[in-house]
Amino acid sequence: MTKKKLKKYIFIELLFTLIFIGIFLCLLVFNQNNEKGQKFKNPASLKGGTIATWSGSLSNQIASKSIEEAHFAFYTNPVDMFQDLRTRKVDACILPSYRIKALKNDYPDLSILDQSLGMSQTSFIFSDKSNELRKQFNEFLEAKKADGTMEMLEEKWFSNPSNYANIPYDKAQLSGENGTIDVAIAADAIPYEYIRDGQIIGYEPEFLDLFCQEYGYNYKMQNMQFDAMLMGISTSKYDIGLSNVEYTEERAQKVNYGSFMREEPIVAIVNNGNPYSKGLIEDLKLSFSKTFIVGSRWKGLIHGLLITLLISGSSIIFGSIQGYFFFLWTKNYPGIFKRIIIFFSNIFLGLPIVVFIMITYYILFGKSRLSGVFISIIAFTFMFSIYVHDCLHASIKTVPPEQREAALALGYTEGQTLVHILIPQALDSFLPSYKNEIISLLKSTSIVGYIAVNDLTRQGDLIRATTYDAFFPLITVALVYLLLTWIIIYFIKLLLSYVNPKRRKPSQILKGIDTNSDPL
Amino acid sequence: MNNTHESTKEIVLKVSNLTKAYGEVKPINQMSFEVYKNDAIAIIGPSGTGKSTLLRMINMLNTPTSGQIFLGDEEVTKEGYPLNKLRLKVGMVFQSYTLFSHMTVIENCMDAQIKLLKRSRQEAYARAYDELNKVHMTDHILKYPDQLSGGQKQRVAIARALAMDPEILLLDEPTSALDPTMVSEVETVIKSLSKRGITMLIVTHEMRLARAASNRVFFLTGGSIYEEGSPEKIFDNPEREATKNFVKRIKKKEWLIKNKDFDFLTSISEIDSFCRDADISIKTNKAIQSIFEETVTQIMLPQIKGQPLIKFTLEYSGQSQLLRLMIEYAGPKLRITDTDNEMAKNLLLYYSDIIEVEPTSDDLNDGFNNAFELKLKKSL
Ligand SMILES: Nc1ncnc2c1ncn2[C@@H]1O[C@H](COP(=O)(O)OP(=O)(O)OP(=O)(O)O)[C@@H](O)[C@H]1O
Ligand SMILES: [Mg+2]
Repeated sequence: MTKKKLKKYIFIELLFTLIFIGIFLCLLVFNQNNEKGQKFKNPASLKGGTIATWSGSLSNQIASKSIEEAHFAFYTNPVDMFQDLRTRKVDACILPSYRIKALKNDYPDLSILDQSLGMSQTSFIFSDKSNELRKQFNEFLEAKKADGTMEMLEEKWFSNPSNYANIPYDKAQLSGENGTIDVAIAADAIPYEYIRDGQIIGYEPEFLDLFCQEYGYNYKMQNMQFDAMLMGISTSKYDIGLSNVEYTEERAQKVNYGSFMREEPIVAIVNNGNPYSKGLIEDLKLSFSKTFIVGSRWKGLIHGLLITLLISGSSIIFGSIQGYFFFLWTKNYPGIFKRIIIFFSNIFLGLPIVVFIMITYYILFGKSRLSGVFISIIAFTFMFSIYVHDCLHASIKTVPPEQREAALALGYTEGQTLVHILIPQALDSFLPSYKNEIISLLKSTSIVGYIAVNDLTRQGDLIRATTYDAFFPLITVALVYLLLTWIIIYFIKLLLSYVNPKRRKPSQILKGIDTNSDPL
Repeated sequence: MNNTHESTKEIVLKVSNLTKAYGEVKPINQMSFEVYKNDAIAIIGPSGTGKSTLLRMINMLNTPTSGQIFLGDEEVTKEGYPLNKLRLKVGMVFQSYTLFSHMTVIENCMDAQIKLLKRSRQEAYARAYDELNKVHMTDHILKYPDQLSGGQKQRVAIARALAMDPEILLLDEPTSALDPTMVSEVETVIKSLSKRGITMLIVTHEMRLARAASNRVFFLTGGSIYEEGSPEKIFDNPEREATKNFVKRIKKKEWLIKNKDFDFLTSISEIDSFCRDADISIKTNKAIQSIFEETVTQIMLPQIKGQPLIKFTLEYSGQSQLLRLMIEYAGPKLRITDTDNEMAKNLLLYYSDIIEVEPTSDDLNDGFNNAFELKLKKSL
């Protein structure tokens, strides 16, 4: 492909993107108008309605007891709940009250029904190995409740919920003389734990600081999704889990709760139709600044992008090398090794990648404390090497078998035949399928959030969870993936034309040869 | 022709008791022969008699089931003899185009020299250029195989093999995949190789090429060398029956009638396809079908009491274009020209003359005691 053609190609891709963004904005404007819905006065009036709850949570259990004939929709983050409440896909959200208090300004249209449905009790959770820590924690909590520290913390973090961006917080200096604790946290619940300026702060982190100071610990904190946190504690990958974990009997069978730190009423949040929009442009401006500017959130996105690049880049490089060796191996010594590769190849065909990654992280490496990034690279490298192996075999088959015989008859060994004769001719069909595998690997890495890795997708989710605004995080993440895909496509096209032997000039073909000298 | 080797008799290749078996099938069975320096041996024989198998065993693309192959003094069939070392000494040209499509003509001829013989690029270029010059391809050295005609590709393949300076060159039907218009340019090249004294084995279906390019001819059939000799001997005075049939391109088919209600229509359609295969004219074809019908079903069968035993033979020589029709039968003599069926007799005599002949001794053994030949009229 010539430079000119490539430029044209890129131009067209960009044009299409702009058109898509245009259509998208139109839909957004169209979505602004909402007819007024029903008004709800108390939980009893929700009878027969559609209720959004957090799957597996206490709110879920309480709601199913207290609202008659309700249909439940299950969510894993409040942003989506509120969004659907706004557009009236659901009639109410059942959540602990703090979830909405801090966001009153952002959601003036949503209101809390006065009557609470029940109480949730929260605490830190501990892995089976951390019984000692749990005892110390309970002791410490008892003492702090007695000396008024807990009251002070309550006042600091919960009295003025909309002030969450300005609450002072300094991370304590920790000596770590008695060791380091592995902490798992799902930092997406203002004001319990959330990210500000790239730092995890909140009511629970501050208490953790105080605790560690007292007992001479240091800690390593890993931010992840709530479910990953629960799993990490129940498999003892981490020692302590922080995420204002509500007490439920079901969870108590898998993880160990400390004594309760706080109680929080569980309430129904409804959409009573107060206007919230300040006009599209204003909304977008606000949304943009919330997503990128406030608390330097763009840094998180950049960091996520680097993680995504690190995981996919390393897996592509190592996987390609490993896949090439697998290929040489199965080509020269078919038999048991080939069977093994075919076995794995079928596994990757049939297994959702997210399941494979979780099995690798929680089961295969369940007991090890290797970082999620490292384990992702191992898993994706292995997976990619199998793909590369399969692609190489498929493309070698496109070379006529006579080519191999001719090379052998000339005296090339099997290995030389493969490297000098077969592979060069197979590249034409190999590179396009290789490109597809690279792109699908890049996209597959978006699931590493499940194993506590904060890649690009996960960083977008985090922003979404803190700002309660989906538009810019999702669009930004989508555009970055698309951009990366284009770069890969462009690069492979370039490579294809580079490896095309016919591109060479006569002077390159006859390099180092004096064609005028008398032959022999 | 290069017949001067008689005095030196340096053995380049020796094959002894070579056998290749695919399960029950033995395309090569206990074959032995020697090839001397400067020999150009044409290997001919019907399809499926193991000619390709033989060549492929000589450079071990196929592994022999038993027997030995010697190149010079070295036994190459010995356990652990390095295959690529053997293949460097044996050049091979295949039927279909086996030039490497990602290399230019000159690179095709240089690459193996550089990588395997460790020649310098300059040396390799000079050697390749020299061979390409001999096959008149120096104008095309920077072209890729897909820019060449079939004949040109085969000439490059020959140059590529020779640039490796092999001790012996094997050619497996080098012209049979070519357009008829390109056969002669490749044949000319092969003839020039034999003039240069290149030791080679050529498997070919082109008798013209076999005769012109070789000093010895092997006729292969039934897994062994059935007859061997100079081209003059094999093509002009073959001693044995099968050789004769093969070089005269004799096609022969027999129909046995053992039953009064035999499948007449199938026999007729078999006669039809025999004639088409042998390129016999439609007119003659129809005449033969008529003769078969009148003689066998109209005249002979009604006269025979009990079970018939009749053999109808068609024989055609592609070389002399002579056609022979024979009928042999068992039992008492029948009245062929003296029949009641006037119409059948007239038709028969319109097409042919009938000549009574003595049955051969083989036929007598099989119980055929009467025979006659039907000579087609000149007008056909
Ligand atoms: N891999 C194989 N497995 C089984 N039988 C084989 C195999 N290769 C060849 N044969 C058989 O061996 C016999 C000889 O084959 P070969 O190709 O050597 O014949 P040929 O003389 O070269 O015929 P042609 O003139 O058609 O090229 C054939 O009957 C063929 O069916
Ligand atoms: Mg053959």
